[in-house]
Amino acid sequence: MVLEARGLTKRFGGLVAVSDVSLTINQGEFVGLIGPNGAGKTTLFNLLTGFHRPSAGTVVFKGEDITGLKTSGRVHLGLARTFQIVQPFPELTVSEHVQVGLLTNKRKKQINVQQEIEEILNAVGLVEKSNDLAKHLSLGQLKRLEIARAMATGPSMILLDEPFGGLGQHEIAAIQELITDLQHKGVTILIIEHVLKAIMNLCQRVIVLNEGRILAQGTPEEIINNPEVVGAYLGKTDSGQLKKVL
Amino acid sequence: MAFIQLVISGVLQGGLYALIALGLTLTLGVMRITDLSYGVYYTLGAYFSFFFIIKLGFNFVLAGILSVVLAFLIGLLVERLLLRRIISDELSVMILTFAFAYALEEIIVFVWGSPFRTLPPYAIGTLNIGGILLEKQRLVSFAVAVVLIVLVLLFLKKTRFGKALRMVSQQQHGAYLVGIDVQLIQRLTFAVGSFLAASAAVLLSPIYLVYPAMGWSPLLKAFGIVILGGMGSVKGTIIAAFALALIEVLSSYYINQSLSQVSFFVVLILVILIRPSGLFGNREGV
Repeated sequence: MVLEARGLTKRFGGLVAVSDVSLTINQGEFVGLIGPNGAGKTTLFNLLTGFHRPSAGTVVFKGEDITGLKTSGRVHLGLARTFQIVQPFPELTVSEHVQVGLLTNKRKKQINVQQEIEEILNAVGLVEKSNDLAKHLSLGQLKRLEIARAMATGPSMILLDEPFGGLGQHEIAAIQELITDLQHKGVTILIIEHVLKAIMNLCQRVIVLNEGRILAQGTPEEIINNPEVVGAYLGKTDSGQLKKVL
Repeated sequence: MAFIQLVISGVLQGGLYALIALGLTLTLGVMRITDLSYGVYYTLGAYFSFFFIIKLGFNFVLAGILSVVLAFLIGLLVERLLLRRIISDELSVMILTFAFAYALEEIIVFVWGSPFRTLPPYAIGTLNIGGILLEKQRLVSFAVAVVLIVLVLLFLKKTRFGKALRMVSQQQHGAYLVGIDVQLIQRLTFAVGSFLAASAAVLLSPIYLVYPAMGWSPLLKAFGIVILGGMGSVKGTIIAAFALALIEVLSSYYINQSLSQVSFFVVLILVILIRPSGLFGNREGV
């Protein structure tokens, strides 16, 4: 087990965005996090990565209680993430993004920076863009840059928030391949995605969040056939319709 | 000849405006807050010098250093104890910093009284170079201000902290994601801002009067400069500071003394109408 959440709750005033969520993610696992809009998926990510403090509950990463640890500290422990809305440094080049990630990574003092940058940019397919400023990239390229920067910090687990959002079929395929490669390298992955089709093939396990609570979890096959999940997504209907949507 | 004299006076004044506005532009860029208490650190800088020089009889170098170090430490405390809790709520930050500025002003009245104070100049006399008159005090203050500004720029360019500061200013979430302790950078930046405001006060208090409400005018001017220069742009801020000083000096001589303050804000409004992001503003960090 690499990541464990126990009884995570987040209240914003009267609104309970995440309510008593407990989950465990195992080493090397590829887990999907789905749910309707406003289900609390991104808030859960923010709790796991330290962007929000939970109102209650704990987060344990690699056996260490990190509930009180800042985001930067979690990154140093090997917990990386990307944002749904990309967050590049507009005035830095593509290779500088990777460089910053590498240099912040204290666990690897003796690395060949230039070689690492090339390897990572190769993996995400941005080698030709390495000297371009981030503000000149397309959305698809920025999404890959976001993953490259996360990879550079040397994560053992990475949380991806809608990496396919707003992309075309071709770009989705490229990022799918990139994520699969990451998993083969032993990185544990938790992914939020609305393009269900794209993750149903990738994930070993899917967790469904609805109104801040875990509604169901299981293999993609089990989830598609779960009437409660179907209800949460489409109102009262049958699973045949959800399959059609997928 | 009058014109040259005016331009030189404007430049000397501009260096100090740049020093004041630099701290505000860093705070704005890195913390994304509207700090209405910024002028308080200017007031504190002046009163600390007054206290150390007049009450304790320290020499002005020691008094100046102690004053700015104290302002730095107070900045650290204020960020940690007050701002940190509400930093994400823009309106609360404005109200809190405004209230804090007034409260501190009253505390100063309580501790040191409300009368106007003067500090002795630490460089006395005037140089006459071919009919151009230069007050030595202003020359010294200008020189120290320029040295401080250059140090800040080098610090931003060369040091690890300076680079981290620029990254936070460009993209806060991105900085978190590469493991930068954003909150620590913000705290130190706020303290550096307090330090810069106080150092401007240390350099100007032998020239101007020292009184509890003295911080509001530099606050307003610093905001004007930062907006004219383009929020968060260091280059824009420095250029706008000199522009403000020159506009003030020239308009008070050629138009009317009492219009010197008006002229700058007229220019500011015109620039904002034409270019809402300011002269060098692109919202892309320090």
